[in-house]
Amino acid sequence: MLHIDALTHTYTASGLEARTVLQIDTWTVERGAQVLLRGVSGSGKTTLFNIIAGLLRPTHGMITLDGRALYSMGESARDRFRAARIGYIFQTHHLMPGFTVLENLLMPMQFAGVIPAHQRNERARSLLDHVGLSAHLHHRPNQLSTGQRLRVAVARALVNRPAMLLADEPTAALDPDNADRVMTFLQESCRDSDAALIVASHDPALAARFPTRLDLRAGRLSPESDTSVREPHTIIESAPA
Amino acid sequence: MSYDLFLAWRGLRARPVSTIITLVIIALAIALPITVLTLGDGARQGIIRASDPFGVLVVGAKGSGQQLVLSTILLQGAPVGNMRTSVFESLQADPRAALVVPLALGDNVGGARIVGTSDALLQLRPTVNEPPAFRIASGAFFAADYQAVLGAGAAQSLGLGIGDQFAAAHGVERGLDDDVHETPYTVVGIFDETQSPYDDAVFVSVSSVWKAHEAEGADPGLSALALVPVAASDQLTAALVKPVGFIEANQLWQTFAAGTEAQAAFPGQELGALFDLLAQGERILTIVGYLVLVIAGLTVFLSLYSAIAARQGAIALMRSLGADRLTIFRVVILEALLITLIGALVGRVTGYGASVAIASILSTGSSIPIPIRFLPSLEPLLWLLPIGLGLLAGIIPAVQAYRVDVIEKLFPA
Repeated sequence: MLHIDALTHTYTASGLEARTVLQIDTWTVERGAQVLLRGVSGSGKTTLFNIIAGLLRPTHGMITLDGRALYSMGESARDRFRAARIGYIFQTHHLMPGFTVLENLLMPMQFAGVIPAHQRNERARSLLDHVGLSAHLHHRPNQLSTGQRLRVAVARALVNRPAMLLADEPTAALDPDNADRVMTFLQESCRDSDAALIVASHDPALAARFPTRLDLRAGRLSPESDTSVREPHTIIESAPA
Repeated sequence: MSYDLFLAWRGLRARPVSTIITLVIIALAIALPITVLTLGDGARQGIIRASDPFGVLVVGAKGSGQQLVLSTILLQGAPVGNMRTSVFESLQADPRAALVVPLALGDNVGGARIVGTSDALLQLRPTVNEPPAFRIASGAFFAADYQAVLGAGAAQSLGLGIGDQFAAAHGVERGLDDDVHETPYTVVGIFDETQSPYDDAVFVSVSSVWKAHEAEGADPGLSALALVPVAASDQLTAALVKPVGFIEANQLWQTFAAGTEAQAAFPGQELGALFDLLAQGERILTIVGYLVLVIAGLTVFLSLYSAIAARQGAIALMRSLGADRLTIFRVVILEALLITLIGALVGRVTGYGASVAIASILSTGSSIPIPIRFLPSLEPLLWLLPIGLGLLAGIIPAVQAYRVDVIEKLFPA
């Protein structure tokens, strides 16, 4: 499903020293796997997600998703691939301002083009119904609470039936009950569609939900339990600018 | 493409004030040349149509030929002056003139010009094969002094009918209420419509006009208060001359051009000079219109530029949701095109609407019809210009949107 090989990412800024934020030798996440990625702020979780999502070309390394080498594709092809195969729940939710809840779900379907046009509306409504927002279809993001915005973001990430779902601190702004509900929905949805789920969070309450837990410390992955991390401590020493 | 259009539309709707201001400026830029050019065209058509019923040479006092034609054919402005009746008499005797119609102007009733003339008027035809221009609709032509025949428009605007009486006032336009002649006129007939400015005139005998002024001992040659030349007993304002043929028309014109007593003017020629004046005005106003269009282009650019700057986060989000750079570029260009096209459409409606309204007001006041026609020749330019400007104004903001760095905007450090 997801295979990362010899990944290094270094931020360079003029006048500042180059800073290597990710160094992962190899990592595989199988289809249907559910992984909790833990790490403190600045540990590289979001950078790793952006690289997996095809938004940020790594300094070095190969990312293969669903058998396709992400950064061997042209940018447009990668954009389409992301729309079709990857769901991404941003930490700050990021809904389209000025567009209704329903339109926020229709947009990625339109860009991906994997769901037939005549099924899109029904698909969006059904997902919004699942996250308890059927009464808010025509509301704008600024008319929703933080929790409701998160639920829209969750529904939007699932709308194209992605093969990989990335969720960056999805429960950070929720109370425990709502956090539990959202996580249950996310995990069940991914289980139902056999999608891989990687959740980045430092919420200790989530630990029990994930058999596979990894720590990301200073850009390096280390396992908390077995599973999908192989050679987690292998570090790529060279970090070219 | 239809989804791109939807996104472009939503982009415009997201900033209603800026969109409406831009739209209004584009619409004005399109409306201005349309209004100027259609009114100019309408005025030309109206003047041509207004001078149609006669096909004559106008002979009147020396002075401005244009003023002579305007005051006698279009019944606009003050007459040039008066000519001696001997000129008219010699024209009547001239074998080169098939028909000579006398005109004695200088009085009005309720703003309708009183035209002192003779029954020769009834023989005027646009062309030989056409029926006479002036036909009695009801009553009869005047047979005695102080009898009047009303043009169709004058009958309506004055609210007079056969048997009614009215008092003539000095001057060619409505003046003071007490500046009137003592002897009243009696309406004896009403003309059919001629579709000319003469529809708004009142026709009486030349001798009625003379008598009206003699009776009051007015200064011959000037109307008492209105300071308008008026035909006194040995004077006429002008004569409409129907020459025997084309050659004779030119000969007559040359005769008067060489003489000192009067001038002859071809309405078409004089109006042609008027058209040149109109064209000059049109050119200036059209250039102003195009300048407004350039300003409109700049407004589109500024509006889009600031909108894109404010929307970089949303653009980055769209990219993260799968929109490629070209889609973003297309949406911004479509946004520019959409607003310019809507503006161009609104501009057309406004332009033609304003033309019709202005034409209606102007023709009511002047009795010259100003027909407003759709001008297809303007269309290619007035579509291509806003489209070109829209594209031009959209390119820099579109490139700006194309270059948005997704990571930088979605995850500011």
